Amino acid sequence: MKRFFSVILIIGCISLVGLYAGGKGEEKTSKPGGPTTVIYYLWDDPSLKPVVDGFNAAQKEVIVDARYIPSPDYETKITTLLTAHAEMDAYMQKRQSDMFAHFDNGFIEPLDAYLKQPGVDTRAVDAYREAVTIEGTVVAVPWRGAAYYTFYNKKLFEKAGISTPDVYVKEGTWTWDKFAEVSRKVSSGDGTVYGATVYIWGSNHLFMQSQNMKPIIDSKGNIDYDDSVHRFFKMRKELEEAKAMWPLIDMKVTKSHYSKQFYDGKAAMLLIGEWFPGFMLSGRDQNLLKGFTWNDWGITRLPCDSKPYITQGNPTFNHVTSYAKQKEAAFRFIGWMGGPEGAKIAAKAGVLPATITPEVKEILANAIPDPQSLEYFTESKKAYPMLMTKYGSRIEVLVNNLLEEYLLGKISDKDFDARFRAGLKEIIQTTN
Amino acid sequence: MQRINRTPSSVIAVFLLPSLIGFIMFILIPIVMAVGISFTNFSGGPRFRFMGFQNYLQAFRSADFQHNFWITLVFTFWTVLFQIVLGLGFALILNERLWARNLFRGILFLPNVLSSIAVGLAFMLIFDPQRGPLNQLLRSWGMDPPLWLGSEKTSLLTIILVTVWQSFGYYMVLFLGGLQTINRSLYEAASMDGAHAIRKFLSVTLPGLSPIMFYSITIAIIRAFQVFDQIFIMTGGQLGGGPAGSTSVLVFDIYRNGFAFFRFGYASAESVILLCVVFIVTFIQYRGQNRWVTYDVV
Repeated sequence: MKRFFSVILIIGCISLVGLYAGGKGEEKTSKPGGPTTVIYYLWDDPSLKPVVDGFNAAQKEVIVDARYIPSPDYETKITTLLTAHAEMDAYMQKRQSDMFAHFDNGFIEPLDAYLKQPGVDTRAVDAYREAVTIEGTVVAVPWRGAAYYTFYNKKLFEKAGISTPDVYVKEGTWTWDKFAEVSRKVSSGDGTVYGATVYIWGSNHLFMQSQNMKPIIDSKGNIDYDDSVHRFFKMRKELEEAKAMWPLIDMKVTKSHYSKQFYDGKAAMLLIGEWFPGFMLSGRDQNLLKGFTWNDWGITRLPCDSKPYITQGNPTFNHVTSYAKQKEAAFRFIGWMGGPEGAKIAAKAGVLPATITPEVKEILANAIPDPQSLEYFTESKKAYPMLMTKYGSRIEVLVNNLLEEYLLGKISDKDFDARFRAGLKEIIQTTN
Repeated sequence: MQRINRTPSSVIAVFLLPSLIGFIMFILIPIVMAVGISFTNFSGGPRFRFMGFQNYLQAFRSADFQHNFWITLVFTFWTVLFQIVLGLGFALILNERLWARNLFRGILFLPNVLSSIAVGLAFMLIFDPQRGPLNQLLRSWGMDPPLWLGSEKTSLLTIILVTVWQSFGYYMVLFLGGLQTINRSLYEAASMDGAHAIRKFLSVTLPGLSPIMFYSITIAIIRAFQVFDQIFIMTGGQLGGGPAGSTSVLVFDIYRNGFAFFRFGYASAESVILLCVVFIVTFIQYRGQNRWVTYDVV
């Protein structure tokens, strides 16, 4: 009898487990004859909601059901959802290099056939084709453009009695050595005002490398870098020691955001990406700017030693999932987002859209303080997509770790190259 | 002779079913899957292959894994030591007839019920090197304060301090419960034999508390090996942990390999190694308890 009940118990358990493990979640299907519903995942960035709302208001055939995930958890959750084949027609990629693993696992729909359809606007893809292509296949449509710039506080330069970076750009002398020199001159020297902020992300320490167009590890697993990685680290260390650059460890530990340093008028220059005008708009609207006004900041090029000018940047893009129920409708939505209509909404939010038209530029003028800055912001330029290989995330962590060890004096200049190369070799050998 | 009415097996089965389902779904299946995945190069999708023991070999050869394992051991040793010593110390003090002792018991236990996330965020502000109240206080006393989470020399210590602060109250409550089960007559007998306070503590209190001590040390070790929240929150989880890898514990590395690098196979191998280490440590303790744990002091 005991054995009988034990068997019944185990069978009951297994059946229930099987029932729930294989069960289906909530399904949202489109009604026949009604609009098609596209399930779209993105993170809770305030600049993104108007785009979804704009698309839903602009037409009646497709309704986008946006599912917002909190930004800090986005990369983890999206991977989990894709692995579980959660109902999802399209999603926005936050950590761009994750697209390689997603594509390799068959989660992403190749888009070449969709892009060839008549009437499809391919300007966004054309502008950033290198960043959204894997082995010759287009896998995403960019929405937000990509470029790093020098943002500067005119008041602090005026106070220090030196020329603003745009002057050096016009002279053709805005090099990294000049950047270091200007950072020292404009800083107060006592930690009250820093000359420059370069944020803690490893990729932000690869600007020189991007400008030399060296991928560190290329898509075939070959190591390709030069001494500019070490040169940038060295520059950072020297500037931090001179209190001319905001200390990296301090930013990391205190979770101090670069925007706050700039709002507070404590950083004369900030090397950051195309989304920053949106932050400045928010700062202005919330009265966060201290010691300067809307007209007292500007945008110009990133320092660059080579010609022609190259900046760094990975666009923000959308994918259609390979198992989407509404692939055509999902592509229509992400295509719209990357096209002129989506670009107008992005421009209103103060971010650089992937597609720039005269109308978009006009809208962007409201988010940029002066015409010259607008020109630099929207000029045609090469933005090198750094770390856009399947090794990207691991290289970034390696760069972060080495940078911290270097700044703390645990790695000497002599040992740097050997440590970096050994780390890269391990990444190549152990990446799936 | 009176017949004992036994509960029918079917009723027992019905009552056991929910727990058994929970155990199978949330413990057994994940463990089996983790072990299975650890032998593959699974990266989240259907395209993966069997790798044998390659992930395990990779982990044992990896300098990062060795470093992270060492950090975990250091964290575990100091955390468990302080948790037990402070828990026992405060239990002994608050077992005495003190004024407002229940209030103090409540206050010391309180951090244990707080979310680790909230505690981590609060201590980040307290330990802020520039604007934090702690360093401002130290500066006002003319001291040159440390960078706490900002230095590779003090970041792990800071995490240990916060973890101990948050959790020693739990062990204090366990020890308080244990102290109250020790028969008072044993102390009276010891007094009549001329035993002083230290002798009573060593010969009556400690043996009486040994089952609780065994349980507490076991739980504290397991929890310490699993530490993640505090490190993720206080030293920038997405951004790589404390300065120069100074707070990179094993679970943090598992998370990073799984969700940032898509190396779920390797991360699972690390998890299985951690499981084995915790199991071995617990087993050694269990086997060694005969030497020092006394269950018959009442």
